[in-house]
Amino acid sequence: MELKKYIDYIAKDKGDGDIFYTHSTSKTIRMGCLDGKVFLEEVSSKETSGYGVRIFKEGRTGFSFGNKTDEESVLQTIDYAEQASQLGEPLAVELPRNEGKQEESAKSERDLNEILETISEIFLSKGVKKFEATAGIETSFWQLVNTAGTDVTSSESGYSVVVMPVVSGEGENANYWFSVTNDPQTLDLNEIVLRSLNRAYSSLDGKSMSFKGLPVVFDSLEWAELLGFLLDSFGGKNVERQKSCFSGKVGQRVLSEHLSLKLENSHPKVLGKYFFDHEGVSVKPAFLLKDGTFVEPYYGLAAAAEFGKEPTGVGHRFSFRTQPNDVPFICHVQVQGLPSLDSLDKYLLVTSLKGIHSGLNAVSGAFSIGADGTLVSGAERVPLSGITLSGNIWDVLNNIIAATPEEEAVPSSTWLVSPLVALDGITVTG
Amino acid sequence: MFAKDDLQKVAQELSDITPDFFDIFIEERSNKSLVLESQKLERPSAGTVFGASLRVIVNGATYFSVVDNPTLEGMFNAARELKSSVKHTVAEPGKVFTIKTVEPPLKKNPWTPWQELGEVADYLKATDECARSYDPKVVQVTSYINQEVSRVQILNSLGNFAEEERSRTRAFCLVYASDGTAVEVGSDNQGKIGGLELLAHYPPESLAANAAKVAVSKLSAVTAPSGEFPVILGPGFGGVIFHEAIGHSLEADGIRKQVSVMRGKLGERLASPKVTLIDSGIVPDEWGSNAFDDEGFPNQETVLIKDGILVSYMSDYLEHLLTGFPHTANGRRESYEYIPYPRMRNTFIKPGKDTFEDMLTSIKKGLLALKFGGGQVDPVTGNFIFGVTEGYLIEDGKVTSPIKDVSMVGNGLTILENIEAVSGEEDMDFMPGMCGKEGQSVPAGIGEPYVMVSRILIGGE
Repeated sequence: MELKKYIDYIAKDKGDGDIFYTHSTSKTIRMGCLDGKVFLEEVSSKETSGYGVRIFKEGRTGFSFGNKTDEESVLQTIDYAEQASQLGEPLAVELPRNEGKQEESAKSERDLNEILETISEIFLSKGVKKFEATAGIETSFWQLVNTAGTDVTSSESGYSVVVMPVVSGEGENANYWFSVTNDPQTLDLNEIVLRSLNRAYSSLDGKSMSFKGLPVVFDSLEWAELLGFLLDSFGGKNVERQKSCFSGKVGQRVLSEHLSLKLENSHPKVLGKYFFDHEGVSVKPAFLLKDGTFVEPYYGLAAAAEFGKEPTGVGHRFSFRTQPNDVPFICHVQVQGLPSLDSLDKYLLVTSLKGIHSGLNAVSGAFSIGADGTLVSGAERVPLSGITLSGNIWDVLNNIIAATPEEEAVPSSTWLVSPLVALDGITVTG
Repeated sequence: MFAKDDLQKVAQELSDITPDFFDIFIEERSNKSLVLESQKLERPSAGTVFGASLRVIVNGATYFSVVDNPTLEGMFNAARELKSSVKHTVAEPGKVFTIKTVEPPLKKNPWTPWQELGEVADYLKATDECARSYDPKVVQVTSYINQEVSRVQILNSLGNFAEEERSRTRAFCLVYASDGTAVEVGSDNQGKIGGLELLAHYPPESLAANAAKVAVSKLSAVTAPSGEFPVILGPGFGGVIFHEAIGHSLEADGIRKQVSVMRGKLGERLASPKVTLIDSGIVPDEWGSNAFDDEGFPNQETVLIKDGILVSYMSDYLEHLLTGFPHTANGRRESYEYIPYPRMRNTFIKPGKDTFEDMLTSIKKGLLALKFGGGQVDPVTGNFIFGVTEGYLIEDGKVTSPIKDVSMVGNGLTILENIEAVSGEEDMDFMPGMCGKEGQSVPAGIGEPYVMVSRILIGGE
C-alpha cells in the first residue's frame, strides 16, 4: 500500500493526519490429548492487513479504518475520517516528526509439529494423559506515517507455545503456562511443561481455608494480570479527569517506598523493541512511581494536548481497526530494600485468579476476587482452592514485605517485567 | 460479497477433499462509535472490513484459512492450499456440489441505520447532563454508542447457503461519583439487535439515572458481610451467573475434552422442577439472536435444563460429528478471522410462578444482587466467581442498605441445587453482554426474572 501517496493527499486536501498500516501472517497448530491418545485439533493460517486513518481538522480528530487497498476504498476511508473529524472538541495535537525502523527478526527456526510432538512426549512421560498444546509462529509488520513527516516501521517475528495440562487426584485441575520467543531453538520445552504442571498441581484437590495476616504472592502470570489492570490508574487522562485514585496526587507518596514503576522502550527479557509508539512518538523511559512517590502520569498524543503535557509514547493500537489507547508497552516493576521470599515462614502462592475485571475496582481499590493456589510453609505445600481474596489493593501495595531477587517478563497488552512480591493485608476467605 | 454461483465453484473445490464438513464464511463488517467524556465528544470512528475464511474438517481435525479482502481468485487459492495441507483428496469424479438456500427462522424488524456520526451526539450529551444533574457528587461521566453491522454469506458442505444482515446497537453510560474522599463507579448499558431505534426505547434519562444511582449510593454503601447467605438474583443481569456457571459447562467441546463438570450428567436432575434453562438464538430483538449460526444452519431454541433435568448440551457441527450429540446450531465466531466453536446465544431462566415479594419475606438476612460486573468460571470444577456491582442487603424481609462491590463465589452445580424460587413472566428481562472464549468475543444475551438461591458464599468483610 502506497502510504506516502495517501498521506500527501491528506496533507494537501484534508489537513493533518496519520495512517497506521499493519500486515501479519500467522500459523498455529493445536494438539490435544485424551486418555493418553494424542490427536491433531486445529491447523490455522491467517494473513491479514488493514489501515487506520486519523484526520485532525482544526484540532478535531476523526478516525476510520478499512482493509480494501484499492484507491477508491482508501480515499473513501480518508473521507470517512474527515467526516468524523467534524465532531468533538478542538485539541492542539502536535504530530511528532520521527523516522525510524525497529526490527526483531527470528534468530532461528523450528518446526511447529516437532515442538508439539516433543511437548506431548514430555507430558506422557510424566503420566499426564489429558492436555492441550498450541504452537504458533507470527510475523507482523506495522508502519505509521503522518503529515508532519513521520515514517516509522516495525517488524517482528516470534514463536509462541501454550500448554494446558489437566491433572488428576481425587478430582481434576487445569492450569497453563506459555512462552514467546524469537529464538525457538532455545525454547526449554521441559521447563514450560514443568511450570504448567506445577501450577496445575498447586491447587489440585485444594482446601478452602481462611487466613488473616498471611502474606500473599501472586505467580507471575497472575501478578501481570493484576498490575496490567491497575496500570490504567497512572494514565494521564484518568488522573486529570478524576477517574483515578491518584488524581491530584502527583508528587505524593502513594504506594510502598520499596516500589518503583518504570516505563521502558526495551528490556533484555522482553521480545521486541518499542522505540516508537503507534502514533509515531518516541517512547521515553520514565518513572511513573519512584520509591512509592507518584512521579508523573503517562500521556498519549491527545491527552498530552488536552492537558498541556509532553506525550510519553504510550499510543497503543491493538489493531488497525482501533484508535490509539494510552497503554504503556513495557512496565518494569522495581522492588528494593526487601528480604527475599525465603525469609517468610509461610505465604499463599496464588496460581489462578478469577474475576479481576469484575471484582476489582481500580478507582476505589476495593477488591474481592477468586483464587486458587498453594500454602507454602518451608518445604510443605498445601493446595488451596475456591478461596476469595479481598481488601483494598492500594493499601496492599503499600505493604510489600518481600520479593524474589530474579525478575520475569510476561507479555500482555503491556509487557510486565517484575520479581514476585509478597503482599501483606489481604484477607483470605475460604 | 460474492455471487452464489461463484461460491458454489469454491465449494466444489473444497468438496473434492471429501471432508467430514466444510464451510465458507464471508463477512463485511462495519462499525460506528462515538464517545462523550468530560462533556466532550471524543473518538468518532467509522470503518469497514471485508474478509472470508474457509474451514475444512477431516478426521476430526480443523484446517482453517483466512482470506483478507477476498477475491474469487484468492478464495480458490485458499481452497487449493487447504487441499494440499489436508492431503486427503479423494475426489469423486463427476460429483457436483449443489446449493440450497436456507430460509431464516428469525424474522427481523426494520431497523434504523446510523448514517451520520453526529446523529447520536444529542443523545450522548443528554445522558451526560442527566447524570450530572442527578446528584452534585457526580464528578465524571462517560457515555458511548456503538453500532456494528455485519453482512454475512455462509455456505457449508451440506449445501446450506445462508445470507444475513446483522445489526447490533449498544448504548453505555459510566458514572463516577465522589464525596471528596472516595470515588465510586456505576454503569448501565442497553443493547439489542437493530439500529438507532434503540435510543428511543431507552431514553438518556433512564440510562444516566440507572448509572448515577449506583455510583452515588455506593458512596454511603455498607460492606457486605462474609459468609453464606440467601441471594435474590435480579432480572436480566442476574442471568450472567447461569451463563457463566452453567452455560459454559454445557458447551459440547468441553464435554468432549473431558474438562466440564457437566460431563455424563445428561438425564440427571440438577435442580428443582422450578428451573428451566434455555439457550435460544431466535428471541426477537435480543442481543444474542441471529437468523443463522456461523456455520450456515438456521438458528433455534435449545432447552438445556427442563424442569430441573439436564436434557441437552450445546453443540456446533464439529462436536455433533465427533460426539453424536444433537446439533443445536451453536456454532459461533467473532468474525471471519476466527474458527467457530460451540457458544451461547441468549441464555435464560424461564419464568416461574413465585413472586419477588414472597422471596423477600422469606429472607431474614441476605442479599439482593441486581447488577454484575461479569464473572469467571472454571469449567473443570464448576467453581465460579462473580462481581456484584449493584447489590443491597435484605434484612428481615426488607431491602435495606446498598452494599459496596463484592464477589459471590460458588459452584455451578451447587447453585442449581439451591435455587428455591423463580418469579413470573412480568419480571422477565434480558441484558446484552460479550462472551469470551478461545480468544474470541461474541455478543451473548442473558436473561431471567427474579431467582432466589438459598445460599451463596459472599466474599465481603
